[in-house]
Amino acid sequence: MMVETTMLKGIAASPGIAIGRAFVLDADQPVDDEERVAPERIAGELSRFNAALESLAAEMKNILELARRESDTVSSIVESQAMIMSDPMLAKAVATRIANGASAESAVAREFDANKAMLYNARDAVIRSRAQDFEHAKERLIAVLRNRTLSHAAGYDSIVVAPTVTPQDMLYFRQTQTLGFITEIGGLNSHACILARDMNIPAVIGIRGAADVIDKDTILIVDGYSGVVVINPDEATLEEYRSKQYRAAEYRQHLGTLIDKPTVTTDGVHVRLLANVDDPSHVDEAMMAGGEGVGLVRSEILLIQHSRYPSVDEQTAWYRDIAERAYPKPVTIRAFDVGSDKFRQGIPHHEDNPALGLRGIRFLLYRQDIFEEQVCAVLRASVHRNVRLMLPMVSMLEELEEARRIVEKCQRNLGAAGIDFDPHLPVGVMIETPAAAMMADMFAKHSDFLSIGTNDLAQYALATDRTNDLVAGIFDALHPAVIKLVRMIVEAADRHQRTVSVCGEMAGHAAATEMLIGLGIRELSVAPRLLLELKQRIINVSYMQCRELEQKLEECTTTQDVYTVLNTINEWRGKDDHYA
Amino acid sequence: MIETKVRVTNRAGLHTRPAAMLVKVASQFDSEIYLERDGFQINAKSIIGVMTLAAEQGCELGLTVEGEDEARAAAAMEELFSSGFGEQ
Repeated sequence: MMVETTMLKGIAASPGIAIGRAFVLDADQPVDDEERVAPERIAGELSRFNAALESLAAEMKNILELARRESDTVSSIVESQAMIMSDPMLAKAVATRIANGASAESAVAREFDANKAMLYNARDAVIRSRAQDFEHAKERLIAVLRNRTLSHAAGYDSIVVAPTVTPQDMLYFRQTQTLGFITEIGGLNSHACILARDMNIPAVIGIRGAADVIDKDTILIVDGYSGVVVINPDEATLEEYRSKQYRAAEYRQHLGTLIDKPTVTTDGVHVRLLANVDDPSHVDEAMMAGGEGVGLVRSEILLIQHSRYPSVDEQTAWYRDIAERAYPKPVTIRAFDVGSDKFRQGIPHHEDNPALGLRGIRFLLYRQDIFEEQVCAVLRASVHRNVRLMLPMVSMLEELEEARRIVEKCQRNLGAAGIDFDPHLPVGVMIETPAAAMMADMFAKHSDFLSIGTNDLAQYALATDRTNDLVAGIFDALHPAVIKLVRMIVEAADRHQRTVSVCGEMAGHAAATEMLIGLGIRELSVAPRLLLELKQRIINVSYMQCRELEQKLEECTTTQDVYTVLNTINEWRGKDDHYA
Repeated sequence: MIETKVRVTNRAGLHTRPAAMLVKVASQFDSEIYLERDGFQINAKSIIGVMTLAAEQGCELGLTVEGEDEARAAAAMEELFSSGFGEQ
């Protein structure tokens, strides 16, 4: 039993702080997939398998019910699991294996593994990702065959520690008000992470061996902001995190009084605070918090919601809803950023290296039919003249020019049809490849505005996949190379009097605000819930201080240097005004 | 037994959601319903089967329906394909 205070570092998957007792889900005993039974036991194995299917069907019905109370995302994930579990072809194939003498468990393991392997080899990434569903379905079925008690018997103050967590488990845990999750594997886009964020449950993933290292009932702290897990925290650490939790709540309340204050530094520099929005309802939240517009609408969300490319009418209604809720404040809609780790429907075949593949503007120009429909919808939503269009993943001038031609074509078509739209719809470029950053001067000249996507820019500049736990430690958007690129982009935008906003994670990063202001950024776009915190920080600094800071950063040669310089900010700031 | 051809007209192809719709509709009938592509035949009531067909927009599939309600089943399947699985 481990009694010392230990800290483990994983990947922050869902924000928040949880303090509770460990509920450890051990990895299941592996199934012997060679296991066979004597001929006289075959009938018994078959009925055991059928009984397991029946009990699972009842369980899935219950889970589907729970899922529907959550969100569409949650229920579509669970539905696809239910379909696998009730698949007649699968059941028949398992039954045939049992009839040939395999034990129920080994028959299930073999059949599911075979299907999983087939899916892994599929050309289509969405279908490949379904392999995970098979693994979860198999685990569940085998657990039922073994009469294992359901894994969701966690207590009310539990933090679940598991090799991996299935969506079903999460829904049950949700009912018992589980406080947090720690898993050994899983990417940031795994079902477990999506659900944890959706349910506002703090989670840290990618801690290898967590279920072995952490004993049942041990006191744990899950810091979903930083990805740190503390095992057996001592009184001082517990106190620190409790007050962090308390301050987070307290702080939020206190921030309310800031809403109507303008966002200016102590020496009068105005910074526009905008919101990143995934849903029309977020616009209200942003406006309530005093947001000055919508800096980023991630339109891919529509694709994930619909699991297909929505029609022009469907898109128009959604964009228009957002534009009208924000009116008269501006709204920047980013064209579908399909590809890479995101929605991959329509990508013609498997890509070995999707982050460097057909994504963003490349996909949109490859599938101009899809892009034209989206541009049409954005134009139709621009009737109040408060909409801007932003192009993702641009790296060449030709891409911008081609996109502009498509916008003009759509404008002509709408004009001919007598439909109203903004004839001067601003078209901006998202700078997120090192090539675009180096050519920022040219992009500033030929576009209406620039925006910096710091996550992708850092990923490409540092050649690091930030969802890969093996190299997540290398990924840091505050690397001096990334800062240098941001500096180049701002200078280029200034030369052409173009606005440049930052809408990646860096914009909301507590340590980076002063740096960005010092670099000359005047527009920051963050999640609506971060708006007031950001304003609080900005109204307490002066631009002169930020400039001085920036000058020191120019000398930095390592990420560590950058952090050392940024930490000096805490000396100017009141100690209580940051917690994350 | 009814044998005919259907074409995938919706943009997404037989992707997750269309695949699920197809299985739901097929499962309402007693008839055996099979789809075939390049000599590879699958049970249309099986989500795994339908997903592994990996049928994209424009591809043509053989449809075989056999059973008491085959006429209605075949009509329902054809309708589903020609309507593009409700995509607009």
